[in-house]
Amino acid sequence: MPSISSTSDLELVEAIKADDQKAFRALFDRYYKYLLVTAYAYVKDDNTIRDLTQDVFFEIWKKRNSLNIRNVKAYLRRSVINKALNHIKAQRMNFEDSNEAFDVPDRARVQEELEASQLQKVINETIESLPDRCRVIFVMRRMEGLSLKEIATKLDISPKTVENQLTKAIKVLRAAVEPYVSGGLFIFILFGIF
Amino acid sequence: MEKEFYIDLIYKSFSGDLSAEKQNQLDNWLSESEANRKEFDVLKKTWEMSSNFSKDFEVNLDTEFAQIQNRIDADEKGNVKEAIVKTIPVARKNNWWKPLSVAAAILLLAGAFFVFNQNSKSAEMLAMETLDGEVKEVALADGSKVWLNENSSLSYPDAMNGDERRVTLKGEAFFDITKNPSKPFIIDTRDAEVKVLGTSFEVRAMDDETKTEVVVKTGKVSLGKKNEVKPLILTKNQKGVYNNKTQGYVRSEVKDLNSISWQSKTMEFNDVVLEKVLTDIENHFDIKVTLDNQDLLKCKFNSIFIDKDQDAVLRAVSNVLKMKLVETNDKSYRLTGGECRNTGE
Repeated sequence: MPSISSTSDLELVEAIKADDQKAFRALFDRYYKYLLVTAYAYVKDDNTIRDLTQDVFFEIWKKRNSLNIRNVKAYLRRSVINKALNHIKAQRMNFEDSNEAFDVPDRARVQEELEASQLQKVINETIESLPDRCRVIFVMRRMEGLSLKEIATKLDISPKTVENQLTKAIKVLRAAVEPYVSGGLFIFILFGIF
Repeated sequence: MEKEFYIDLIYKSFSGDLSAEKQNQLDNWLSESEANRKEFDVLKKTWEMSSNFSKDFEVNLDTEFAQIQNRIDADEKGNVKEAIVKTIPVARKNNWWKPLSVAAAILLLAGAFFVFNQNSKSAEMLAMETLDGEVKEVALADGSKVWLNENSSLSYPDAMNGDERRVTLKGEAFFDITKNPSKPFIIDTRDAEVKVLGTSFEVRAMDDETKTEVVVKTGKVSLGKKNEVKPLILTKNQKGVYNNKTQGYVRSEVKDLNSISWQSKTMEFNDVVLEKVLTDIENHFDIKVTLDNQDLLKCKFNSIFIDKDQDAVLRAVSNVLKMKLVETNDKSYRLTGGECRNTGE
């Protein structure tokens, strides 16, 4: 095999099927961090997501002989999300709607560095700070592109709850970007070089 | 106040579907002023940027890979030696064969991945898949029938001329199997196989990745990992669990499933009329369910629910009988419409 970094995902998987440990390590190097981030959107616990992600690779190796993968990245992503969702279910996280108070971050938070990347950072941090249920639902909608109904089915909750949580999430995000709007930068980002 | 209303419509237009009427309302509002339009743009951009979520992690790839390597080493060693497999010896019951006319109910919780299994003869493998809210009926070559519940898939041979009948399941299904003691019926899941020597039974395979769980109502079933020499034999009212991580088996007795539903969180319906099904559901969840279409009262229903919430259970029942589920409040529901294909005898 030529330089391992120029090998395609599917070639790596083929090599893994032939017991190639170097290819296994290369696949790990390529996707471990990516899967950590993916899992983190669902489970905000550093140790847990490392366990879940390591599980994914462990199983890849264990059942390498029967692997049938067409899109490696999507397969890995789906695997770690399934594990994260199972973990959430095992924790019996309460996903049904209740009338809990919902904190909206302080609107007056002043942003000094007015850069688009900074805006993305604010959005990232805001998503991270959402309550578990709200965050998981939001991530399933935005990152996985699942429909309200699909999310409701996966989490065994009503579509109404999903919709409410999504509305809450976008409200919180809107509040978080307020300093940018009043500072005028947002419009620049909207129509400028972004 | 007025603005709040439209902003709410904007949120909803991102996260769900707006009715054409509401969309019109929103469009009108947007064309009213530059400020409205700006508010929309801000929200839209925020919504768009929110899909780029990422985070920086401190990762030492060498250390973390070593952890996986250790697990692999331990696992491979374990497989070569006697492993941790514990098979509990089972006293043979000599009358398991008798209740062949009675349904054998099996409850199965199993792995998440769909494993295609080669049939012994070169019969062509077919596959059936269901989406959200779908239930499909599959007729097998030997006359057996399978009702595949939502989000499930079944792969099965187009002919069953080998010395066994083998299918692969991911998800949940109800099986009505044609009796044939010389050709055992085998359900493969990712990590395990379930062998059935009875007639009709229920199988449910959940997206749990490490455990395969079988609960036998009546009849006789064996549970084992692939190529297990001494599988666990389960008979009436027994529960078996195979844990793929530890490769161990555990067997326990189960009393009548519905009588302990509060504890087992399991409700089972085996050809039970809807009238009784709804009563059980009302009792189990302490809710009120109103049925509009009284013609369905005697309609028969089959399913097993393990640790499902009221929404999921009611959705499943209404799906099967093609009813519409309306949530009046969180303690009362209404079922409307519906049709019955499975009534009377």
